[in-house]
Amino acid sequence: MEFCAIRIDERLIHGQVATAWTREVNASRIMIIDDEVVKDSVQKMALKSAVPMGIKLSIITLEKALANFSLNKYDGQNVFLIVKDPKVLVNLKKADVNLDEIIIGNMSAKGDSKVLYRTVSVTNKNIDDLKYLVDEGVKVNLQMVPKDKKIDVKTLL
Amino acid sequence: MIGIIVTGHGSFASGLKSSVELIAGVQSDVSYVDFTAGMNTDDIKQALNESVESMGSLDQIMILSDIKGGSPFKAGLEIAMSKENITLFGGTNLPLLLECSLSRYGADDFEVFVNTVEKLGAEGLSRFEMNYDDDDED
Repeated sequence: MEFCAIRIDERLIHGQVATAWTREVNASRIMIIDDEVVKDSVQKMALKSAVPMGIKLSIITLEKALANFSLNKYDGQNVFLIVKDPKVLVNLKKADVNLDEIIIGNMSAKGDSKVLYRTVSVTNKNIDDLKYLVDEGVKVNLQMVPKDKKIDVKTLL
Repeated sequence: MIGIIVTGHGSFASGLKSSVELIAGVQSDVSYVDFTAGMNTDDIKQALNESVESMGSLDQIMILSDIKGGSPFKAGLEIAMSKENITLFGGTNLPLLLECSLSRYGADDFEVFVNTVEKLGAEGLSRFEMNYDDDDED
């Protein structure tokens, strides 16, 4: 499974993603992998409303995603993966899914989190997950909108 | 290259500027002209003229105004009538402006570009139809 782009963004699909990123990465499908969102009809409705015209949408669990990947279900599509939590990407990596580069957009402040950079706050658990990905050779960069310069997360952790 | 001038009553233009830049970053060859309390029709025309002049090297300029028939629109109309390369819109919304800003780089046919952004801007204003079909779980 190859993705045309991978993003960590707690707001999932919103203005920056729907307008600027989807175009920038030439996505034909936006894929949300999140076990909680799958169960939440309100969030799902809001996500459907935000998908640009002509772009397909998947909101699926990790288990379903891995099953679909093994069936080569998305061959020939430009899949733009968006997750809320880096944990999902760790699990994909552990399942041998190819992750080349990850872009971090928005991660909001939580209980014990600290600000990494502007709109990106991370918990200790997030830091462990990001370090795992970096150690596995995945490029992890912060970039809010395509016009912003990328910041290598290694310089911030 | 296509330049864009956004203009409207009050802080319409500067408000759209902050929205566009939050969503898509700072855009080149886009200027924002507010028509604020205390300005008269000559002032807005002069301000628009200055923006047009500053874009003198561009092939095409789009003036996106807030409402057809308003003073910013009429000032834009006077300028558009005196120049060949100006296209004027009324009823500008954020979807129209974003579409113009982001898709103008790949536009080789200006007429096709204008028709496309007009259509998408108009479609951007819509009531959202609730659809509970689970067609997204694949």
